[in-house]
Amino acid sequence: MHQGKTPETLGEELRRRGMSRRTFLKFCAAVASSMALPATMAPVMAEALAKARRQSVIWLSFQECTGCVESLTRSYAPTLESLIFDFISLDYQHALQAAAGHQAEEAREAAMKEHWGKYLVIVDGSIPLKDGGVYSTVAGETNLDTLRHVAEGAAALISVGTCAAYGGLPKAHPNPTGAAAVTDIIKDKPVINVPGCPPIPEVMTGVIANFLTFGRLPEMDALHRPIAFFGDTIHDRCYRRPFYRRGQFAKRFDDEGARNGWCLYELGCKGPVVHNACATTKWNQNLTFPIQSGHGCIGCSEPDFWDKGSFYAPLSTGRWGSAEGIALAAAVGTTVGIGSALLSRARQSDIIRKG
Amino acid sequence: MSGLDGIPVRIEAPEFDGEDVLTGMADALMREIHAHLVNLHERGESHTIDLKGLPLTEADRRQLREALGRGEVSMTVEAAGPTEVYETAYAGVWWIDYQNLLGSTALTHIEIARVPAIAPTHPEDIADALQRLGEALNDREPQTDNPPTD
Repeated sequence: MHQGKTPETLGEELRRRGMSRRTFLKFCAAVASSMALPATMAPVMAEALAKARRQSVIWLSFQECTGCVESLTRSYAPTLESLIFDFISLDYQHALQAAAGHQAEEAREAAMKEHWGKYLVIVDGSIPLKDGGVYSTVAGETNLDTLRHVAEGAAALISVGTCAAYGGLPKAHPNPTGAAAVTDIIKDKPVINVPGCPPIPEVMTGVIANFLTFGRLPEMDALHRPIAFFGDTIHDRCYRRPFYRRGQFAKRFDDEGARNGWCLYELGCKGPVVHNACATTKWNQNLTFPIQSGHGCIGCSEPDFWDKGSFYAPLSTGRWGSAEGIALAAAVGTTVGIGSALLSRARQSDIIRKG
Repeated sequence: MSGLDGIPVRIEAPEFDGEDVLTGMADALMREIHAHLVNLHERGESHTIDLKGLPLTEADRRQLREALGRGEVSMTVEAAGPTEVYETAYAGVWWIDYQNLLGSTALTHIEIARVPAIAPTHPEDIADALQRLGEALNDREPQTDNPPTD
């Protein structure tokens, strides 16, 4: 791999492949926009990105359904976000790699050695702990041992999907495998959670791009989630909020209220207590999200969402929190529209001030 | 702290209702654009407004676009999909529509600048072009209908 000369920068490599610096600018404009960074940051990010080298990424898949990988890779047309694959060197990934067997494992070890201390580790799937972790093994090694071993030389870890972030479906009662999250195991490296079942692809890309251009993970909340994407609840930004305020609720999935797009609270929507970017970034390139398509939010980006009661029973009847807490989240929070925009602007000037 | 905290405040958000309503955002943005144009004129400072994070209805967007109008310059940049750029009727105020490879809008910027950031050619690209042109000239046979006689 090394021919004794310094590896190409991304700018050099992409230009060799016919991509101009304008491509960088466009990509960075999209990422800056999705993270509510000031638009004037896009040229700065583009410069930084062009000077960077391909970021080595090792993707570890544990007890997962591969939905997170599918979410990231299965857009029906190349998106701006899919350019991220031109900026990273995906040195190990079960679903996407060509190598198999010992070759694949050796490739991983070689990448780790070459980029020790600098590679990003992306994890999807939970890690079983019961009985020494035997319930999920790859190449004769338990997921637990693999995670610990690979994390040693990592610059940072990204837990993609609710399974890696909080234990996910495998952790559902009675949790037969003792499924655990990455943060339960790795304590000495920066770990960021990108929950969702699956996460929105633009969110995944935004976190990786932030790392590439700024050399660090974005600002996180108490649950290790990037605030840029998980700062608001679904309810905060839901376009059906006016119906909620006027008390217009759909009571069945086929009644007049449902057909008129009324609030889905009574049909089990967990929007008021769920943090994600679904209501703004949406899915399938800003096309729609569950509520817009007529189904309440199931809370797939929150811990233990699978064990908190029916998806179809109203919020107050499940195990999502106290009645008072829920009432507060539903009624207060930021209001739809200008209020939220002001919040995002305040965040922007904060970023400019911090430099 | 002053007694300002004791004043009750209620934020009125506009009703979206599924109907296409004018919320007044277009007016607010025109005033913001004006302020940035002052900076451009007096201090040469550029600024970019990202429309994506703003609660603009379709009606607001149309009103804004109509109010800004179109000017002399129009260009398409083909880089990871098309980007449509045009100068509005107000010189120095540009409308930039970044599209993905299917032609649908990924994001929209309003740039207040002498020229939008995506337009000028980057020095690195020029260096690359220089090298390629040099190589192409070296490879080229003289192109003429009258070859030199020996």
